[in-house]
Amino acid sequence: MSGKTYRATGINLRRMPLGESDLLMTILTRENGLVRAVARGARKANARIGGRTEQFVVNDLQLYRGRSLDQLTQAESLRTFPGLLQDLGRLTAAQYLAEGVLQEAAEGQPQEDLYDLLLVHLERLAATPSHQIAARLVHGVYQLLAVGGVAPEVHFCTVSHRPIAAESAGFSVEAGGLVALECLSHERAGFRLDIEQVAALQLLADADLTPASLDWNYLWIGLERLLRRHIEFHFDRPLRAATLLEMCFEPLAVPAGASPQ
Amino acid sequence: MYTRPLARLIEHLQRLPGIGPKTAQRLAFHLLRRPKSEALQLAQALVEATEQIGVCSRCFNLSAEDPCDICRQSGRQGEMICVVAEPRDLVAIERTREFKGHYHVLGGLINPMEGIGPEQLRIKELLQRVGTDTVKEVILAINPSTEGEMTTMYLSKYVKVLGPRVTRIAFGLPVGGDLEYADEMTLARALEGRREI
Repeated sequence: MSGKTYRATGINLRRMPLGESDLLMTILTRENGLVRAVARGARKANARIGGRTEQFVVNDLQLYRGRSLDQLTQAESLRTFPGLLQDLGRLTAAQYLAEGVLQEAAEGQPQEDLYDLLLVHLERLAATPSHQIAARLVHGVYQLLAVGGVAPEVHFCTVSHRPIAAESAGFSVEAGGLVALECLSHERAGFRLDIEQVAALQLLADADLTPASLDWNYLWIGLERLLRRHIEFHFDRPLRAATLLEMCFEPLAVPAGASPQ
Repeated sequence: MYTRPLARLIEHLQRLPGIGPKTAQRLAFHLLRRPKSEALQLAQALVEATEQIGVCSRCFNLSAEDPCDICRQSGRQGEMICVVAEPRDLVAIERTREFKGHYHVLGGLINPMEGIGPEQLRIKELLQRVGTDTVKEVILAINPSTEGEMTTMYLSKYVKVLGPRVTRIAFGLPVGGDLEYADEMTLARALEGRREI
């Protein structure tokens, strides 16, 4: 293999049309972190590589190192998540995770932990029933943040450093996590959380959620908004997938002017 | 390096999709080599297209008239609407001469990661059409990509509530294609969408 050609295992996170029939892919690889590569002719109907360029497909890749962008020369699919394509909520939650990873992942260095964790959470999301999507998403987001060392603090007060357990508390985006109630007044932008919300937030640090906690849908929806503020504050960029996610969690409402026949 | 009008021409050509500096330069030199009348015709066509072409107020296809030619055709089946993402997709379906219903152009696909949500597409207008017209079937002719899946799921969720049958065009192997060279995803979809013969 020549010096300019290299192999990697990666998850497709984003694809954008480029030129007449090419795609610009952003791939999270285990070996090289985020890789931006051009897949030539991938948008043509008879392109062999076509389906392998889809979002969330895991491929064994062969890439050619270019001057500004790498080129995707071969891809062999290793894993797909058909469950994600069967539910709008699951797919939107997966895009939310992907968007978070795109903000967090580094280029040109191995991202083994982030890659392995994203795979685990995509797999869980793909198999989750609709009412547990929020739980799976919030847990996935927290865990991915934790790998990058930017997860909010959920066991100690970020102001006084005293442990917080089985009690109401505050949450400060600026302080980076939970704040004991007696310290909350010092924080300008603090949210007050009840005992259940604090307990749920602390569960996020575990490798998996308990089966019972997966059904706390409304609790997780609230915590998703909290985590979103944390991410947006930390990365100084809005999470675009969150807007559609809110619609997925809302009850069905037909726009005005369109009435059932 | 270039005389000012030539530099300006190259600069404007470069703004077109898929045109890099080299191609822009080649196109500019080609235009200058051709008779002046050809360049003027091209300029005239550009001016006319930008001034006259708008969107049809019913289907949102690109058209110089409102409603567009397709919406005005009396032989079309009003109870069928084919939903496409872009006007070029409508052209591709029209080329088949198989579909005799009406169209609705969404103006893109839902792509949350690029900040394109349902409110930026003509989904509300589609639901209004489906809710008021005598529509019996809505055919979703949308790309089998993640964004396409997302748009399809979103549309089917809201259109079904209004009553009509919602269908989606089939995916699979291209005509003349070779099974051996098809990727796993395409083959899986083709198997999933198999039909009895």
